[in-house]
Amino acid sequence: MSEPSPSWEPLIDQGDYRFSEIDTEQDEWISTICNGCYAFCGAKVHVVDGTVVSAKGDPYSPNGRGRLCAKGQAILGGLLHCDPYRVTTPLRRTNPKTLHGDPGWEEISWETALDTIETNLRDALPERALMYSVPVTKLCNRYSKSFMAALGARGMNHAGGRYCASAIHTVAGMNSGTWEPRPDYEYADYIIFWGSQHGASAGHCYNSSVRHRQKAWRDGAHVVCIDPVHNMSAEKADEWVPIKPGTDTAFILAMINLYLNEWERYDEGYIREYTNGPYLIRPDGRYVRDAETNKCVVWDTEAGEPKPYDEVSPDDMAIFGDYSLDGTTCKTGLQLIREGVSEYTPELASEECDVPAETVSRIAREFVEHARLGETISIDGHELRHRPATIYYLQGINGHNHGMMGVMGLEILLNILGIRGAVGGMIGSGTQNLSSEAPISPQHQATVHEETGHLAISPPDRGLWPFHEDMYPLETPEEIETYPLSNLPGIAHFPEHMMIGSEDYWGLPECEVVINLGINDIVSYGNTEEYFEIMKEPFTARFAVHLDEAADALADIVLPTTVALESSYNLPWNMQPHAVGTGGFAEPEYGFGVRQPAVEPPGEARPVPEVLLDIVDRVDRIGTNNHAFNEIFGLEAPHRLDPDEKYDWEEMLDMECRSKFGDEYSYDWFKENGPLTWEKEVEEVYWMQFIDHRVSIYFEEFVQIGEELRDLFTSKDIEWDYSDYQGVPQYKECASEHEPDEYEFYLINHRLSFNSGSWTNRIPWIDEINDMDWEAYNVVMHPEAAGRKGISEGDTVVVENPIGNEREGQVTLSEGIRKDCIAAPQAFGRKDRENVDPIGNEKGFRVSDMLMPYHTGPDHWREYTDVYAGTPDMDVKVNVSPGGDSEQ
Amino acid sequence: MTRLGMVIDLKKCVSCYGCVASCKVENFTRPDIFWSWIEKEDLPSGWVDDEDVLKSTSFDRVSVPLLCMHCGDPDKGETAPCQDACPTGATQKRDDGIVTIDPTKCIGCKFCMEACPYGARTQNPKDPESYYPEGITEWEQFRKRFPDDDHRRHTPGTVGKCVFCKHRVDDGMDPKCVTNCISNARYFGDINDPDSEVSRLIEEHDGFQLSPEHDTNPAVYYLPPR
Repeated sequence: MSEPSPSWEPLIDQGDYRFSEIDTEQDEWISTICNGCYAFCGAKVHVVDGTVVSAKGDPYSPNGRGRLCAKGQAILGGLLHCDPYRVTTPLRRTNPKTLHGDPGWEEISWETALDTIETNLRDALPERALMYSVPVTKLCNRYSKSFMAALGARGMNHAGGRYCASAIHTVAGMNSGTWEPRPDYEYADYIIFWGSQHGASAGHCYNSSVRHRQKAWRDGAHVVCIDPVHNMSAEKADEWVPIKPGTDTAFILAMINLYLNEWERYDEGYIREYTNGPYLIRPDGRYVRDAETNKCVVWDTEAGEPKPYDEVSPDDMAIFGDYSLDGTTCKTGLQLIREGVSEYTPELASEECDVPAETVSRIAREFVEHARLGETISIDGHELRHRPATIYYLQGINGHNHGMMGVMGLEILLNILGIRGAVGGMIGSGTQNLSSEAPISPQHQATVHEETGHLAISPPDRGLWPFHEDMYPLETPEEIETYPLSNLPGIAHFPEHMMIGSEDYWGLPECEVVINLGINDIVSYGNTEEYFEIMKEPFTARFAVHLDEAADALADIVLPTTVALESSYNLPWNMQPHAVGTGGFAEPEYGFGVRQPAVEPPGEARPVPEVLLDIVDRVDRIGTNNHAFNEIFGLEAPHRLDPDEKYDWEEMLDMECRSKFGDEYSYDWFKENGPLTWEKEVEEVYWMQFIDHRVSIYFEEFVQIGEELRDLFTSKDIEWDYSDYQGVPQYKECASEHEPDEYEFYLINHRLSFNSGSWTNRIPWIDEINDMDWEAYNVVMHPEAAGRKGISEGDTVVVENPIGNEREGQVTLSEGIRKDCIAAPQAFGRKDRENVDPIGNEKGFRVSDMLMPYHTGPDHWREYTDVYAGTPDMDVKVNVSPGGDSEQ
Repeated sequence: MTRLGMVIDLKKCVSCYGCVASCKVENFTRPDIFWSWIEKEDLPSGWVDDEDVLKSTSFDRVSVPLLCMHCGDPDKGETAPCQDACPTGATQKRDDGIVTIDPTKCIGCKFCMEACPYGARTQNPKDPESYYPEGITEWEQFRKRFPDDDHRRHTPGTVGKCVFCKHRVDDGMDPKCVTNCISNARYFGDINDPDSEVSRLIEEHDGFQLSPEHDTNPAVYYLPPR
């Protein structure tokens, strides 16, 4: 185990700097919360005589612990508040909607703007034809969800959702109550970052995760990065494995094959006690059930007969083998996995992944050796399973049209070695409330599903979790009218146009009103022309900090809104699924904090929730709104909102504070005192070792969902691809493998920690940093590949996808990328009208323009999409040729 | 005597640019002026004695955060090359080793910029004052409230650079890039005290100074990236 090194611990509070060199009337630091990403780091803002002059992290916030990343400094540092390009009055379009044309914005009063929205909503509400778009980085699920429910809105979507790791969220939520498989950095000895830059240049709760990951590496953990591009994650690793894009599942299944078939090295005790590996599976892929109790059945080796799972000691359960039940041959779940992976040799993986077979075998061996099968460790008097080998995986695995296969594979891998929930293993961000000292509940309450024995998790704060329902059992898809997409398995992040134009996609009435909370959906979507044609139809009211090409093209009304410096909010960090910096003992405390305005908004700008409350009031929905808020924020009597009373936003936040912590802890208390924190306990961090439960390694519920979807969609005449709804993963080639040969490069995209979505480079400090950075505004290409194409450093190139979409980019050369790949960061390439906002405009490459499913229409999008999770295939094939100003 | 210095752990630095942004916010620097910046190279050859310390197992690239090196140990009577080049005495070395510039004495001759081997100094241009063509914002206007000899005034024509946030150091705090480092990769302290944390880190992890061939004895040390 890595020895913790106290001298490397975080700085303590050094106090708040105040100006002694100048005369001031006001010189104070105001406690607040950043909105640069969904980590929501605690912060303090320095206000002098009414001007925000600087910012820092709040040393007492578990998220960030006194630091802010570049985004946070830029957002809170003061310049954004006085940005002359901010929208400061409501605007109304006077010209017809066009792409990149002049909307002829006319300044109007708030009264006129809200009247117009009210009229349109009143016409649309009975048909429930309404939709929300939620920018995860600027706002949060919590209140947009309650307002959506209040308005009876049809659905909610995330601008970044299409790039979200939805397959991972489904499996990690179902099996571990976590948003993602977060490593136990404090104790891990061997960490694989597989298609992920967690703690390097991306990752949920980036700010904290960097400190945790890099401390682990400095303290001696061995770090492996499997990624086609040598990005920051590879720079901070002992080994870079440049895998061919989209082939990860072959590598994963080869590792499982080595463990189960070749080496027979697996955690037999854990599989028997904590998984459905011993459960008997029928030939149709479904569980064998006990006729009386409907419980899952195992083979009792002692009695030589099948019995309900809870009537057999784990030691007596068969984990492998075929068993005849009433003339039908059934197999255990683990037997099906063992048979399913048997063809995946390191040699086969090598051929698919372009990684030497020896490397596949060596990494598999190193990983299992570091997993210390059979060992335990004592922490605070608890003897705990100790498996200090772990894998962090995200979009690199998830972002393919068979992404779910790789996600299932890694879940199996982490479970057959007993790594899930183990010290040094995969602990996730979720915690079970097992401490009597905790003032409020952690992320979820875990129980056990009686019939399957499976972990059943209910998030206590449904506003924080994007899941609408419990994470297990998966919701049966029965209807698609109410929320047409959210009840599909996974979180189904389908793009807005599929919901707006839902007649073509889902056979539902099209939306008539869109309320956009401030996302640039044109940049995140990419297929500008098709998107515009569909999205121009509904009436659109759009909140905006800045005007952008999407507002110019699509909005009827623009509503000026605020940034974090000027708004209010509550953040229960311990419940926030993206705030995974709070998982594990790498960060020993939980906490709760509030955002408060440090300065008045510019002009007539107003915070989004305050305006939404006005809108809800105008359409007579305050009662529904208050009910939704009570449920989603988990308010308890006597602090539940009265259905007949209209509250202002800070009153609602105050009710939450008092409900969770008692009357002493009002919203004002938090404004004055900053975050409230409390220590974690062993039973909370390693809760999976303190609850008797099982999880799926054979994914029977996916087989079930496939059957249920087939029934539903057949009845609605919707075509669907059911081939991925299976219990054991397989390696399936990405759609990109079948493109014509001239599209010879995979286009890889990735995040940069100093940018969030397409909006942060409007802040000059971030734009400057992007200019300084070697790759931010560039397309990265291998020098050998570039030479072959007659391309040199700094050249403009034309990138073209197989459907003929072209976009220009500027090349930078690096040997840190596979020769068959090019790479560019996501979300650049904004193209605003001249003089709307020149900062960061038309800089960088717009990756989303190249993604295939958004260009193929209702008939073909599924071929390029993981049907399970709605994720587009990210390794799109492109052709690269010298562009206009290059020397030919 | 105390010599204030910094240790930057290249193994922990993830090139997040938090130091760059926090420096700009803390010191009110003008557009396109960086007292703290990052260079990423596919191996910065010639920067260190032993290039092996920068070798990775597969592909070589390292991100190197840079700032003024505050060259020369006052205890040994050493001076910084910029200090020697300054004809007016605007550049001085404090007893604790921090190299400062008095803007009221700086005539903008730029000899110091030529003398600095690290490119740490920049001249404040007359224009632009603001990031925005529309004119100066209230945040940018705040510079003008500092006294003429303050490093945060950025008087056009004068030369500026990192001063280890001396306004904070004199208040008992570390420089902003240190307290804000999200990776905990920066350390600040007395490099002449063998028992200080910075000295111990340099000793234990083979800390090195950049460009030793210039014989400038920087106060900024780096720990190898691997």
